[in-house]
Amino acid sequence: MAKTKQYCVAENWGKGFIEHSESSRIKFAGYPGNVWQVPAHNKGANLWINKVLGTVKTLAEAQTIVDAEVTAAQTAWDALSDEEKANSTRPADIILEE
Amino acid sequence: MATYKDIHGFKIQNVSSDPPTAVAGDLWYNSTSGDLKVDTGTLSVAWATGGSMSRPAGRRAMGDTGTQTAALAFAGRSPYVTHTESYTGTSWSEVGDINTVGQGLAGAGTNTAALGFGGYRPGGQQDLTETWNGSNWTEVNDLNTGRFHLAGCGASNTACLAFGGIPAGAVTENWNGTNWTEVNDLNTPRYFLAGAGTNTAALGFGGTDVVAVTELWNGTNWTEVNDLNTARKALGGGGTSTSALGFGGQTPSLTAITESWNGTNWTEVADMGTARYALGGAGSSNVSALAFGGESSGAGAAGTAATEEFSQTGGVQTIDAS
Repeated sequence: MAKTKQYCVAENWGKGFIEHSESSRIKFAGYPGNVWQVPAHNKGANLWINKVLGTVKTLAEAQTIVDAEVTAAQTAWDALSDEEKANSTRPADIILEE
Repeated sequence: MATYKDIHGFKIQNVSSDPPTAVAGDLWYNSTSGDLKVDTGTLSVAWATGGSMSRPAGRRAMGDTGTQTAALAFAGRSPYVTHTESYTGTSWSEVGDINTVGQGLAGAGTNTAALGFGGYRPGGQQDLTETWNGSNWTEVNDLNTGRFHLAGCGASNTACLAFGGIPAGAVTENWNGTNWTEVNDLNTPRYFLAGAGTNTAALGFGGTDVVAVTELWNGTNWTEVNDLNTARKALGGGGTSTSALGFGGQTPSLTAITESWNGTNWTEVADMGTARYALGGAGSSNVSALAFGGESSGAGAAGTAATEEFSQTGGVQTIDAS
């Protein structure tokens, strides 16, 4: 099955990182580790990756980055006091889509 | 100076109502409203990234108020902070700290005349209220019922509404600039809900335990109206009782879903780029809002500094000729 999504790593610098005109044409999803999911085989998405100097990752590479970040966040959460835990939610595992 | 006719070969149309078949680039004068109008193309609503919050680690469960171009974020965690940040539409800058640390507090008013109230700090829920004059926070009279993860709304720091929260549930209080007075309860007790509007026309939506319930406040009573499409808690919100936006939260999974309220129904619109909960929200309508901070996957308890702006482009716009 042809992939429908692609991944890249790019640091969100704030204003202008994702413009309204880009967001209205492309579906973006941000994940831990500065991993961004955008549509595959999409000219607008490819142009955006170039604009933000994104490093394209395979699904497996992106998943490894996300897993490392989530594991670190889970470890940090596990070390919190009971009072802190009661006021937040343990970070959940994330499965990226093809 | 060249006129419009010199450039385009025809005059601007003078019509009594906006032409239904206008296309991008059409320009006309609406004699009924007295406005010069232009069709700027296909209408679209979307989120775009805004300036990241000043604290690089971000924050969550903060107090929040204001609009997309003039917002205020204060207190929150983790760890507990007293920092206040002001957004100009481009970037956040740190301004005067709030006096008391806390998380899960509510905010109302503008970024130059705000009220922060309630919250939680080690030891339990708070009834503290502080007023912001654009430069400094000053402690004023307490809520009657201390609580956290409540919702708040109000046009200024002299007319606000506080509702819901832990452990109060349904309790609603009205602020008149000096004192809080208990008024009629929410129909559905809940916390981690969002609010929009003023102390005489408010909207409360979502909340724990992951509900879609929406209630409308008319200055005296809460009335249940149409539900959100996606039940959730710890969402952000902004706008008025007739034009609001709800975004993010937990379903209980993290969500980026955004819904638009038109005074009668919620409609799903564009998703945020970063799913998160316990985020800050501000906004003036269902086409202009700001999402900031909150807890996103991997950001952990420290929260994220990411900011997103929701806006509408295209459609018929009025030209300001002044």
